[in-house]
Amino acid sequence: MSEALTLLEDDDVAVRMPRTGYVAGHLIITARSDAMILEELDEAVLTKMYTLANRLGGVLFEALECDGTNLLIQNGVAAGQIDEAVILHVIPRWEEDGLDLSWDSTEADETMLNQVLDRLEYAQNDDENRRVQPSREDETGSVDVESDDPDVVDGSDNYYAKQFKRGLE
Amino acid sequence: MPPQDHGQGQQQSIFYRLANGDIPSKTVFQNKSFRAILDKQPAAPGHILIIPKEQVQITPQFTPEMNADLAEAIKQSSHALLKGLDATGTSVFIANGGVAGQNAPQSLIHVIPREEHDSIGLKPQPQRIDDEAFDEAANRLKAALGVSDDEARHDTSQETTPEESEHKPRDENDVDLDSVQDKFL
Repeated sequence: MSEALTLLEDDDVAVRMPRTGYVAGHLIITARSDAMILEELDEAVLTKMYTLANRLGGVLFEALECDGTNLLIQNGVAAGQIDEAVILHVIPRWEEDGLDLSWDSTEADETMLNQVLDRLEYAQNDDENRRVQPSREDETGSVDVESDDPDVVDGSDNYYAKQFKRGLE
Repeated sequence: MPPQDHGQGQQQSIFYRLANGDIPSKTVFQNKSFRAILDKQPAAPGHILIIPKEQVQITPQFTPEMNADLAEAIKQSSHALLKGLDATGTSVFIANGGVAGQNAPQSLIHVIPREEHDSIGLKPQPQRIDDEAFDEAANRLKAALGVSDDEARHDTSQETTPEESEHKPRDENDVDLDSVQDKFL
């Protein structure tokens, strides 16, 4: 989004209307943060982004007389993310505006749903275990959370950054 | 389930009952305001529906508490998909209004796991907006937001990087978002 009109901004977020967008009046709310993807973003900032998006939805209804809105976060390159920042799209919609944001679906069987749920619960339980896992102090006195998962490390080579970068490979 | 396939009428009580646990579901996460469940008609395996526990039709009607709970539910759901399913990304999608794809009388938030070259879509190609249409939309939005021409800023360069914005001082042109939010409560 190289060319845009900045309408609102503060230390946490900026609201812009890009010259290159989906429709006239398409607004993007950009988090002013080092977070590249949603999972790295401070929850308070994400709350602010959705609060603002919902207010702007009312503004779009009123000012542009749109018939609806879509809110969209493209989280990761595979989802269409381009910028290295978390962006919430607020898209005004009209009848026959030519924008297609639908998808095809399939009927999930019980076995598949249970398999997926098992994997999600395993991931959540693993998170919980890591939170309660004892930590130890190294010789310098800094705290190191024990982990045998090479993806779960702090710093630039962290788990989420890997997920984002995978889409660029 | 695609947003265009959520039916009217009878579905209303189904989503409300799902959100409140009156109908069994594959629950991934829940907090005070929302229940996140696996969609039985997914765009991809792991497609999560976040449903408000209150009967709320569109997200602009969300209370401040609901917005905070929504942010938590979205982060938790997306994280579970990235970690549990090793998804490459996620799409977080909301439709407000029938023209936007909403057919359920209950607001629904979709969190969809993504993989490279999947066929789900949700990433249309942006187009250069016609200058006249852009200017008209800009003028209407500035008026509605109470933003003057001096306060609005045309950026012709790259998006402000996080490093730049982190150290960007507030100036007199910065707009208090809280006042904007209050105006449209």
